[in-house]
Formats: sequence, C-alpha cells, structure tokens
Amino acid sequence: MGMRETSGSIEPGEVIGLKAENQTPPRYLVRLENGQELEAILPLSIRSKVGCLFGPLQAGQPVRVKLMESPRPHRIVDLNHANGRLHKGLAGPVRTVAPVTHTIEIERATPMQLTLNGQPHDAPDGQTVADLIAALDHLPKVGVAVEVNREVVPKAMHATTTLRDGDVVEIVTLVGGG
Amino acid sequence: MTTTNDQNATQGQPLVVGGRELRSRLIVGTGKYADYETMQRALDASGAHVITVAVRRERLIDADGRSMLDYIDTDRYTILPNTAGCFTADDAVRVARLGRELLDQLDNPGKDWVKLEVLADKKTLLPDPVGTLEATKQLAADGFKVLCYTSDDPVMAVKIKEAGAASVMPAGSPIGSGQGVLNPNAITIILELLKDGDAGYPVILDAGVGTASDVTHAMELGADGVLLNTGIAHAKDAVRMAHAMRHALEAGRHAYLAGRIDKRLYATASSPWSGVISYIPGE
Repeated sequence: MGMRETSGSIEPGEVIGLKAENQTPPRYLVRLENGQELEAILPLSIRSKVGCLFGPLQAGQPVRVKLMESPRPHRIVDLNHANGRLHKGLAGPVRTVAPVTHTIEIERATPMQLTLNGQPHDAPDGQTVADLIAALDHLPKVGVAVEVNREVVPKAMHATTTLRDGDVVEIVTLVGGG
Repeated sequence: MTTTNDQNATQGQPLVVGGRELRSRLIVGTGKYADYETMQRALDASGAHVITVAVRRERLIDADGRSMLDYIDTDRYTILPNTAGCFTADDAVRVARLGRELLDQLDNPGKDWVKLEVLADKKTLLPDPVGTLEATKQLAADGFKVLCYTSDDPVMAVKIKEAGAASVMPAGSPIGSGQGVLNPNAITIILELLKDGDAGYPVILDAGVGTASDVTHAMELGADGVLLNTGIAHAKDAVRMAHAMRHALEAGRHAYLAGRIDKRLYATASSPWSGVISYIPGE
C-alpha cells in the first residue's frame, strides 16, 4: 500500500501510525487494546467526527486509540454498528471489502483545519494547493479554479502555495448559468 | 452558422463587444436545461457565438463525473462567465476573477469577459445599483470587459457606461419572468443616451424574454443584441425555441434596419382611391 511509518513508540491502544501515501482519505492501521489491528479511515471533517474502522469488531466494543501524528490523544467515544453504510465524512465509496464496517465517532484534532467550500476539512501540515486537489478523489483535475482567503491562486502557483491552518479555500468550476 | 460576411450583407455591421466581433447577436445561457444533450442542441440551434456560464463550488464528494464543459465546444463558443448569485461588489469581483482563472485554463477568448450581476435579493433578482456600479469600476480597472446587467433605468445605464462597462445590458423584465420588454420607452431612452456620439456602443437586452416576439421587440427598438436563458431552456421544446429565437432576432434586426412606418390613429388604404367604381360613404 505504499505505507510510511511515523516515528514514536507503538503501544496497545494506539494508532500504529501507518499512512497510505497514495490514498485519500488517509488510511491508518489501528491497534486495539486487545492487540487486534484494523484498518481505519479517520474523519475528513472535525465537525462530523465520523470515521470508519474496518474489521471484525463487536458493536459497542470499547476502543481507545491514539494518533501518533497528533499532539493530542484521540478517543473513540462511541461505536455504532452500521453495516455497509457510508457517511458524508468520507470522500467517496469505501473500496475495501471488509467483513463488517463499523462507523465510529471519534474526537480528533488534526494538524491543520481548513474551510473547504464552506465545510470544515482536515489536512496535513504543509499541504499545498496542488496536494489538496490531488487528495480529493472526485475532483476533476482540470477545469477547477482555486481561491484561498478570497484571492485566486493561479494554477501555475498551486504546487508552490502552501496552505495554513484556518485557510478558507474555495474550489470552483463552470456550471450552466444565464 | 452565419458568417461575418453574411451578417454584413443582411444585418448591418456585426456586433462588436469589448473589441471583439461577434458572429451572432444572440447570447444564450447554459442553465436550467433538462440535460446536457438538450443544452448542446439548443446552443447549436440558437446560432449563438457567446454563451453564458456560472461559477460554482465544485462538488467534492460523489460527483457524477459529468461536467458541462464536456458538452461545450470551447473552440466554437466564447464563454461569458457570470457573477450570478453575488449580492455584493466584493463577491462579484471574486467570482469574476475565478471565472477568468477557469477560462484562462481553457484558453477561451471569454477569459477577460464577465457578465456582471450584483443582485439585491433572491426574490426579485433586481440589480443592486450601488454594488453594480462599484463592481463595474473595480473590474474595468482590473482589465475586464464588463457586460453589465442592470435595470431599465436610463440614469443607471449612463453611469455604468461611464464606469467603464464594455456593454450595458438592461433587463426587459425580471430575470426568468418571461414578461418580455415591459418598458420599451425606457429601453429606447437608454439606447439614445448610450449611443449618443458613440453609435457603436453595444446595448444588449438581458433578461425577461419569454418567447420569440420578445426578442424581435427588443431588436426592433434598436438593441444590439439579446441575452436570454430561461425562454429557451424551459420551453417545452428547447431546441425548437432556440431556433425560433434565432430567427426572431434576425427578424427584429432586419425590421430595425429597414425602419418601421409611423403609427397612425386612422387607416391608410393600401389600394388606390382613384378609379374606384363603388359608392364611398361621405362623398
């Protein structure tokens, strides 16, 4: 999966911190308190606090995880059974076939929070406009224009424009109009 | 497709807006069609050279993968992005710049054009004159060719032209209302004021067209062109209505150039009185 290991020790109950570099949204391996490892999609949206764990879990099973990439611990506060259900927080259909899909609510702080097209959006530190576009699965890679904090970022500057925490980003295209 | 030469022969001088010669005096919108295929056929039937589009947030999740741009020949059409949905000058300027960025990527000649709309409210869609004027100044200073939607107020029309608009586009009636030209006298006055000493200044009737005769009416008044969307897109047969609009525009243009007769209160006979063999009342 083209994974990259992050630094830090791994303990039971913590996210191992593996990140698939070429996949969006980022997927993590989560190690549960019982030693079980699961693949997880962590929330795109801090507001929705919705993510997904894939694997054989019991509904209501208490799980505590911690993200190695973040300075603050993250706690799974609820575990709801929702077989096959997709949530708004996910960028598109889940492609991994798993025996059971559980949705979870987790409290998570991210390195950088953007407002993207009016919605909260979490992004890794140092992400450029080009990175952001590349990370959006359903976005056409041509025919979009980007504005950051009410200023157009020309396409030629996408790769060199680094986003900052709190940035307000608009990604627009042409649609039918009169 | 009407060539420039044909147009010279039949419709007088071609319409020039922002220094560019247009192949058609009909500008049509791309909104509200039942589907993209119908839009594509209607645009073709309209004979339009310039088509308007809107700038909107890209859908980031579960997009259907179909983009309007897949159905538009960007070599054939000049794309005129609008600022529809903007209620302040600042937002209109932002949207205009995003439109320019999008068309720059397409290398379309419409890239420095904008159909400026600064609206007052969602219900009437009437223009906010103060915001419109401010945005016109800012955009003209930023190098845009501003085609400016406004009401049929002649005073505002003059101010918008003075602010640097490439074309003033008074509304015949509210956007999408299909009421036609409600105040032809106001349109006539606007034409007279804006073309005084500047006959080539383009005045395009924008909004309110319900059917073909509305287009003809506007052109007969001396408008340089007509911009419409809903009248075609929401007709039961959009493609046929596009065809009708095209011909209505040509009819109105011809009638304007031909010069209509004066209206009279009483009749004037078309057949000669001399040689009449019948009894004539009162004689």
